[in-house]
Amino acid sequence: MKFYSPLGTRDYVLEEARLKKQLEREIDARLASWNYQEIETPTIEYYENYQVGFESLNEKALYKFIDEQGNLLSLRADMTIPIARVVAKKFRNAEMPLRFRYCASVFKVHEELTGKKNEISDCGVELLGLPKETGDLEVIICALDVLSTLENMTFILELGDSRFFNQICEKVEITDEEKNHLAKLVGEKQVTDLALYLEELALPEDYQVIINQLVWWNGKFDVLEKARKKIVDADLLRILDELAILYEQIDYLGYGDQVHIDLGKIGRLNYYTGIIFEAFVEGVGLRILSGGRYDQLLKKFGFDLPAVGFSIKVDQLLKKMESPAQPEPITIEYPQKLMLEALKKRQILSGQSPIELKINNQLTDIRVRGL
Amino acid sequence: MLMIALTKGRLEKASLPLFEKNGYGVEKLKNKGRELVFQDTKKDIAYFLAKAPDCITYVEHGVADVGIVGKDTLLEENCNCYELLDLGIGKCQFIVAGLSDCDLWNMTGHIKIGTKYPRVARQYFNQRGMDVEIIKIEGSVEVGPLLGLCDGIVDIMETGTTLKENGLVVFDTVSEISARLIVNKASFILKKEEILTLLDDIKSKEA
Repeated sequence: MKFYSPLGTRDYVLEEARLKKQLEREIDARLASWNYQEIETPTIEYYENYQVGFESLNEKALYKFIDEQGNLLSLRADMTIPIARVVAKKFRNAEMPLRFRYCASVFKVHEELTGKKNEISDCGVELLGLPKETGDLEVIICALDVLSTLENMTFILELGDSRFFNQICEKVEITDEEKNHLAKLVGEKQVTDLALYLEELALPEDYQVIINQLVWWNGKFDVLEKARKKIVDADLLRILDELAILYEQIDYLGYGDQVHIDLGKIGRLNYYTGIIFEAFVEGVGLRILSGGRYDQLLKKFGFDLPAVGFSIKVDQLLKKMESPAQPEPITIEYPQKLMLEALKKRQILSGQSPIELKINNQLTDIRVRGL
Repeated sequence: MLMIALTKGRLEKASLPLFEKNGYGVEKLKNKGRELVFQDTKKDIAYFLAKAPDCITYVEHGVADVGIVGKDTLLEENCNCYELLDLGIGKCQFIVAGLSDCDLWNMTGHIKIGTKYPRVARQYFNQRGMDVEIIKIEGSVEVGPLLGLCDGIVDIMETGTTLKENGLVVFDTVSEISARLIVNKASFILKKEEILTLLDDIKSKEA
């Protein structure tokens, strides 16, 4: 018999558990202050929902099992798909926009022994029914607001637009397979292999230059200027303009220093339809927040609705959290024969501080400490 | 402060001159005592040595900001980092080889391929539309076909001497390999200046 936690999972106990819950509460309170409403969905979803939602689904990454009727189920891999399902079913006639927030466990199977967790806690929001002109800024500022309220965190939010890469691919007319490969090379900033592959594809010279530069067009606001000098295409220029306006608005609201631009950000192909962003914190190697606009997703569930959202990776952030001082409990010591009276005492004292019951048969009467 | 993970062995020896010639103080790495982490004597950088797949792991988790790893290992392992520079050292090739009397491409029976790089081998044969069985071998892969464990091998080849000595011939080249500089995604954003300076320093020598 083996009595361990399953591969890729972990237990949270005592201080770790306390920290996690506290962080989730802090984030949740901040999201609530933006008037995002709570939503809870089942831990299991029909596998089909993920298949429909994510065109390029990595099926190995989903936990799969079968219900008693033979339907394929999976543990939810994110909260966006379940929320899209709920909204498409139950909120067709609702007043728009809709704002939802959640804190939930999501499950993804990772390669064994890589130090990555298969069950993680995601806290996030979805803003549905607002197009990019009105929705993007709110969601980005909300993300920045949450991150800013967390103590001892130096963070950068990196902002890109998935349309930039997609438009380029459309202009050069490559196949889906070629686009997938190109997306991998750009996304992973594989400088050398990217240059070689572009030569192999024999794309027009000016587009080769642009795609090679995607790897380097990241950093402070001025990369938009750099990019503009190399680009003549009107559609691409329009995306740069929109990013510039968005950045200026973010800057006006006081977050300019925390936001970088990355024009080479790809994200999940055939899913994001506009802005995409990720945030990183000093001292944590993996991203702690990710999000973007996905205007085509709800349509797949039968309700054409623009949407934008983000989620915060609580487990990653925990690495940076300092343990909070815990209030000293009040103790009620009592000899066993006075158990009933001791519990009565507890009822009377019950309030803000935790109360610990302690048996001490040396005593003849109840003793209360730490009041 | 930048933390750099160097691949132990051949790549370590080849990469030290890149740092040395460009004004980095890597003396401690050349005369190793019992330390495990080596401070650069001129710059705000520390180095440590690790096996190639471990370099990737350290960089992915952000324990190291930068790593120097062979493309062979990057192709075999799933690497969730940026790959920003070809260092032009540690050059070799992924090849398919076997005994000269084996007509691997026209075999009709069951084909077995021995390799230290199952993922690379699998991908290569999938692309050729060939259905083969991959057998993982940890070392001295050349022995496989000689003793009849497998029909062919996928391995890295530097000069080809070992293959020749064992009577094996190269059937095809899978890809060219060299050492790459990889960077943690968070570090690339939060320590951009330092990393771009490092890239510039090392690159300038090549050109």
